[in-house]
Amino acid sequence: MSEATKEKPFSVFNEDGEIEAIPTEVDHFALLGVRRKFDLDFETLEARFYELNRKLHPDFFMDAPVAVRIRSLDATARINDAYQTLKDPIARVIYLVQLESGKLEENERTPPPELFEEIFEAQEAAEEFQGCVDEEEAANLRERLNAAMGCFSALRDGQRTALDRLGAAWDEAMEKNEPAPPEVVKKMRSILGQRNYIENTLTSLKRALEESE
Amino acid sequence: MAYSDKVVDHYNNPRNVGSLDKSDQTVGTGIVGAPECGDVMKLQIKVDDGGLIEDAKFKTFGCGSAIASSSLATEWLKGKTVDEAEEIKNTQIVEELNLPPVKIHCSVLAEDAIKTALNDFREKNGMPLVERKGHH
Repeated sequence: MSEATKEKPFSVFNEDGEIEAIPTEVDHFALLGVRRKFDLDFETLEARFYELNRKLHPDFFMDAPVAVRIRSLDATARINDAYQTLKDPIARVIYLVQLESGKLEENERTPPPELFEEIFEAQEAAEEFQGCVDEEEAANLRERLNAAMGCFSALRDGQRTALDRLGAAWDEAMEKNEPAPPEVVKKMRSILGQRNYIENTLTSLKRALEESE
Repeated sequence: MAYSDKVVDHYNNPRNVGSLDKSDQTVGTGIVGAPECGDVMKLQIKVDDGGLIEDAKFKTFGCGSAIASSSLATEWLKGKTVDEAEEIKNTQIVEELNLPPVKIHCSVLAEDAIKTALNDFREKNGMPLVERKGHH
């Protein structure tokens, strides 16, 4: 990557080499000096994180005045939070989408009815299976749970592929300093809004199947 | 985080768990979800000839507070008219169950479920729908 495409990171130290308080509006990308995009430059992220972590660690400020110690703690917490968020692909997508287009909680709360029907069916089958003593019935239910597991796993995989594709389209717009296409934003928000329902259902199915083993 | 005694009680002994016939004209169904945590809730009411809610059932897949909120909601719904039920507020659920701030969205979910079920009943029976106001 050429120097020109690198973002100038927020400077945690002032000209005198003292730790600066990090303003709340400095986002994770600016703090760690990586470009604000979905397809992250992971090497730069990691290098910058370790570099800052080495310099800011509270152990180095044990003898410093209280105000400096607090700033070192705050800064360490901020860069940790930024690093943890940005290195995780899903956490990064959620963070960036919210940064660019507002909190996800403001999403419509009414989910697609077909998805919900399937979720209730799967969850109820999982519940039934856990309390089932009849062998034949249990075998039937197990089959249903496995089928549901396949459906929901495929759904999750499909979402991930779609998120990658949409993220790339969004990145392209950002590269050109253009606003993200509204339909891309809308689709990503909708996928992220459904994500937890699918994850929770998969967790229930998995738990039910594992407990029976 | 510790749950209040009332939440634990509703969680361990949920009232009115189950389903009613969705296609029954006297039944209103509300299915809602919280995208931030993935909890899903189904709440149903059955209205008798005199306009009173004679039965209420719920099915919630989510955290203890969401289960307790919907369980409590079904208890409160029984014996009320559809219009009286409209008056149930999430803040009353918060108060009754002592929900901490991070769990307030569970009570919002229950209120959403009630209002969706009531409108479903109204729609089925040719009654004017009640518009949803913003909450929180």
